[in-house]
Amino acid sequence: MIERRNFGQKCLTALNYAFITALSLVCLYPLLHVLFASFSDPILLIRHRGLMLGPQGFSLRGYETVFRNPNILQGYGNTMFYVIVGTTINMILTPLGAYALSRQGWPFRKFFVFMFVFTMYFSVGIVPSFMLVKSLGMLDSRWAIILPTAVNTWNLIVMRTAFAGVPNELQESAYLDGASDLRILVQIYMPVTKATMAVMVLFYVVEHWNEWFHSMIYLTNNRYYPLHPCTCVQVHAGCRKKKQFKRKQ
Amino acid sequence: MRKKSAIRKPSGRSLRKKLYRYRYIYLMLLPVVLYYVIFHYAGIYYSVIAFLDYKPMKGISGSRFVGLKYFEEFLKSIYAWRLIRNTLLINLYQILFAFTASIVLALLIHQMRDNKYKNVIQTITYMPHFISIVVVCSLLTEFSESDGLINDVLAAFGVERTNLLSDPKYFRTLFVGSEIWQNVGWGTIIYLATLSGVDQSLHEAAAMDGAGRIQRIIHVNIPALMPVIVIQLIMRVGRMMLVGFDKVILLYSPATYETADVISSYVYRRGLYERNYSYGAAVGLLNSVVNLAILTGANAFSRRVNDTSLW
Repeated sequence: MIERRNFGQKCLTALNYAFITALSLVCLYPLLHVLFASFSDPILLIRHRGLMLGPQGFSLRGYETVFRNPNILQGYGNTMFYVIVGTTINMILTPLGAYALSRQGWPFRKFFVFMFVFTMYFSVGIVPSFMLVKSLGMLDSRWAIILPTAVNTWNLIVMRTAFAGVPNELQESAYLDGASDLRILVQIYMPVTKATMAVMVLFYVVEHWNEWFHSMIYLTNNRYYPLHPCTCVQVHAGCRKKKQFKRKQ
Repeated sequence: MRKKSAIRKPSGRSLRKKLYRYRYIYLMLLPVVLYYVIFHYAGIYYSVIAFLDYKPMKGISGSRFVGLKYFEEFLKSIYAWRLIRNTLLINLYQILFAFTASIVLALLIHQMRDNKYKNVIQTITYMPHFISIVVVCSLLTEFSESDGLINDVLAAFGVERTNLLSDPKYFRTLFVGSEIWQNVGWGTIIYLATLSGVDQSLHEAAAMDGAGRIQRIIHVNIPALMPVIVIQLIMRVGRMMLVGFDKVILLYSPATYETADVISSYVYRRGLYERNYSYGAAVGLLNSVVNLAILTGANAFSRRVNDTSLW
């Protein structure tokens, strides 16, 4: 490639690198802040102001408190359950739907595509969803967290696109050898699109891991709470303590 | 579909044959369809409570029909204008700043030659996307306290320290700013994928003709991105009336309702928290319908103006 390397262009390059590096530091800092704060001595931490470039003192008291708190341990357990069971259900349903949609020629295909995509742009709102879950008898149960998010339409479309890119000959020759659709999906389509499958698993895992909103509206009993409502309570308690501490000073 | 059948009318028998031939496809689709019917379309049945004076004890069939009473009540209430304005403004700012930020960042990252460094940068900028909204909001709360980090930076420029989150003036800035922080990197993925598909010979030809870096960005990269940008923009505008309200309810407080309260958080507060089910359902339904209308409008506009559309 022909590249003109005069002074102006070099300046642009340097400026670009500097800007992007600064931006990525901004993205990174809050994460480091949490990490450093978690290892810091609580009293030094509260006194600390400004940028934190390393742990303030060293203490594992934060971790001790966390692991002594039965709610948080239970929250971790529940979150693990939601991640594993939820993602398994996601990864059974999504490929089934995506495979069907990626195949051409069957009657009513467009109808089903519309039926799925429409839900991305029209949601009935939280009150009817709440009543629906209630009337299904799923309030205060683990299913209320797992089932309403069993398929993510966006992921379904991404997977369909990946399946549509698989050469047709693979599927045709498997047909001639007598393979069923399910077998073609499991033994040909999914292995061929391994990378997309891995990304889908990642997306679903993150979605379940970060879940807190459904648990907030569908669960009243904190026995089934995942981690985040627990951290939420913890954070608020922490903020109150910090304010009290400051007032005392 | 209709056009095809006018040319070659499939008899009922061939349709039945086709249905039979693809029977396993339907069987595979069945659980997915069940999911959508139960968890998305059955919910539409429950939105009829928007037109009823719903009492949980009486159930849907026993509740009195009140027509558009709750819609009127909302539109006439003093909150309606504030909620609509806040919802639209937060979305508008997000489109103006967060949406464009990803495009600009993608163009800048694409300019980097050093692939290893590029990967590191991309990984770092993706990271915030995976952090739970609960954690992001608690961080933001900490940083925006009067002795927090954001205030430290502002104080260096001579701005007086305040608790930013309890001041309605700053809510939108903080909301959109943290949104950019969390998703700017993630948003670049689709643009970077498109940019990597741009034919190198276009760049070479432009360079031969004496185009500099910036000129090539303007005349090669941006036109290549245009179809993706338009589609993304339509989809973004299609969420014009929706705000990620989990974030709103984590950040707002009665002190900042003036700028922070959006339609969805109001529906949550009035509908679920205070249990005015019918009223909440009415406001939610109105919001969804208006939102769908905006999406359809944006799509039609785009199809007429530059031939790109979602459907």
